[in-house]
Amino acid sequence: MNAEEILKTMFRSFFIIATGIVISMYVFCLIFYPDASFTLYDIGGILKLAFISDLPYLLFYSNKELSKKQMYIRKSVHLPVLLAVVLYFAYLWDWVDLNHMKEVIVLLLLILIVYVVVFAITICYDKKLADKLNHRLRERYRS
Amino acid sequence: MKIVIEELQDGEEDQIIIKCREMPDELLHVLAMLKSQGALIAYDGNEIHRVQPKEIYYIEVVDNKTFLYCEAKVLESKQKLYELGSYLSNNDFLRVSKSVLLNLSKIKSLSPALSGRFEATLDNNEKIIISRQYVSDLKKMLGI
Repeated sequence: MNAEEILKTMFRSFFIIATGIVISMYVFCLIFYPDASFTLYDIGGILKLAFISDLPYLLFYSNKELSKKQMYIRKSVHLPVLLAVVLYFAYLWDWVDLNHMKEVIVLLLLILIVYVVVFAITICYDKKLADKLNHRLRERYRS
Repeated sequence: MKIVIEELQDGEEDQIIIKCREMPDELLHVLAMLKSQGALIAYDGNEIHRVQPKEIYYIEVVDNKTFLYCEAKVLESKQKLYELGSYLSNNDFLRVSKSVLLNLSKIKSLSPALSGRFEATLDNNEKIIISRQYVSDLKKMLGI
């Protein structure tokens, strides 16, 4: 992806990630801190974390169009980097206690679930569109 | 450059008259296209070839050079990608990335290639990536 495409993707992803963080925080607090209350500072934290989580998208930057295989390789690097970045900032802002393994695992699982759901939705949409395009191509050139 | 188009009298033959002091490259290209009747002029070293658009699978720019990829041969063109794009726009050719013009009639199948991109497998089994920003043009061209 070139610089323009990366910026567009990051802009779109920012809102998806922010929504994902809110859902994850809701589930996380429901499990571990049911009495938790959120301040203006925490809302700022959500937006900051969404921005920081967006940065690993820069791994997809390339002047040339990446092949399918190259894209899968970068995607497999992107996920662990994203998990590490989120875990580091969650620890830095006292959102998670690294001494409680259960908390860490639930947090990582929640991120993973959001990541996989978004990925699966995108793949399904692209698959449907590819089927439609193939159908139209066959109609136009192979009939 | 001044362009004059005159209506002919009945019975007169169509003709093109070029009046100039020197022949600029652009004019040579136009003449080459007219003479080749729809075919493109391409080069393989010192050899000059006439290539019909339907023979071309895709056209790619690599290091500022334009290459025409046919079934089993690669030829070089002296024209820019945007010039070929506008010339071939009525021949099923579509810009699918910053550096590639693809002949849609040569696509065997399309499959998703992550992040809203698609991979086109051509009749000669070569694979070309269709960039996300050109997918809407492809949809439009195929009436989706």
